[in-house]
Amino acid sequence: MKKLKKTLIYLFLSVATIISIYPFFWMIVSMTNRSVDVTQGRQLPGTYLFENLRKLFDQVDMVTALTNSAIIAILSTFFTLFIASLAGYGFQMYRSRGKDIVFNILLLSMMIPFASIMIPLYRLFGRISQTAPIIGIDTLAAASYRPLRPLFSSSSLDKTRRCSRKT
Amino acid sequence: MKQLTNKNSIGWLFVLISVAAITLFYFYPMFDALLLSFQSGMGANLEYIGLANWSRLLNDPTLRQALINTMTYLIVQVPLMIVLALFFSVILNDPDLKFRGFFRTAIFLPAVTSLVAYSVIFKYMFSVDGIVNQLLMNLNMISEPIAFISDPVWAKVVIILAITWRWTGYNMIFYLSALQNIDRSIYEAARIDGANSFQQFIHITIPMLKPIILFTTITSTIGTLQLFDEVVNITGGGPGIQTISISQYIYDLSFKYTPNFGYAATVSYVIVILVVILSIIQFKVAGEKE
Repeated sequence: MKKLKKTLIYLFLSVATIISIYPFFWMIVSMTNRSVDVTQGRQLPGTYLFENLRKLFDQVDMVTALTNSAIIAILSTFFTLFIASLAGYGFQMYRSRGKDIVFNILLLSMMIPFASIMIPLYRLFGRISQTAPIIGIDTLAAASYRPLRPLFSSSSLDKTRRCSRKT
Repeated sequence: MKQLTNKNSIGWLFVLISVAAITLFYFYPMFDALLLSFQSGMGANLEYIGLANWSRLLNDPTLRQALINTMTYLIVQVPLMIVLALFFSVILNDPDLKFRGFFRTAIFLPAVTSLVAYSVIFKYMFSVDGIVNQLLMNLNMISEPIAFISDPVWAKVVIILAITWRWTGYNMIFYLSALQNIDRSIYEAARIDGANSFQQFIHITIPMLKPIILFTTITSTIGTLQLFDEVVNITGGGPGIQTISISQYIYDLSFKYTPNFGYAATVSYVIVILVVILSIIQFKVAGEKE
């Protein structure tokens, strides 16, 4: 009975693993195939890897795309660490009634769906980059908007964890 | 006393940047969206039109379809994913399990993919001559390929499967880290009292994980209400508007059709209202006092 249960668990996990990993495998295999073969679901690696890569760099400005992604990734990581750790330290080490209230108000911003502020943000960034044209709209968006989220996911997690320990 | 106020103001300095930034990038846009919902016009030429946008909401067939679709995704996908993630985390928390690290990594792996990339892969996998159809035909489960993407019902199934694939491992990690905080001796005591593993799961694991389950349910609900990338890339909202989501409709209203920021902002407030209502319900159901 115990053995059967063990086998079932391993079987279940193996199936889940295959489902999880398969799309990655297929993505890598498809890298080496022609588009026609990909749409027909070819499973074996082909010989078109370099041709595909050449096509990619010919048709799309990959260098710019990668540079942009890198700028956004680096800036937003930097600001995330900087702003969130500053605020986390301030809220935790200098606790006061006022700050607790402010923290809870800020926590509400987590409930704001991105879709609902997308258009005002678009207009806001448009206005900012008009007055300060050197700062691109994308850089601004990445560097200012994205870092704010992790502050809350970590702090609220911390809160829930404290709750769970209490019970 | 003087030192105390001094210390307090230093604390305010620490939180100043985040307060300013969140006000500028979350609360101000919320307020701006509210103002926008009373305006109409093309692009940037807006004028106040009172409540016309809000009354248009009530008789908008596309919005109704988008709401139905989004609620369908929500009601089917979130419970499915939460249960699955709980299941995985309990299995993978067993210290006697071999290859635990490997299984954990494998199941978490989908969470690192970019939304657009995995959506495109799912689109190809579920195409008429894609591998899913080939597999099902080889197993003799179907005699003819299913048109997953162009069938209104199957298209929704594909989208739900895709989201579940992407986010189950992500939610599992939250449960795993919470499970590590549960004292093993509680389970031992339960076992001595004769509780089987199912009873242990219902009476110990679930109550202990309740705060985290609530947290993941709310974040998943918010996430699903904002569903965008998957729908746009897998079906493009089609066939017709059968799989369109609210976010995609807002996007279409603002940037694809004749730009109408005013009405788009009004529709976006529908999401805000939904999020608030659903979060209150979820808090009530979970019975949180705090």
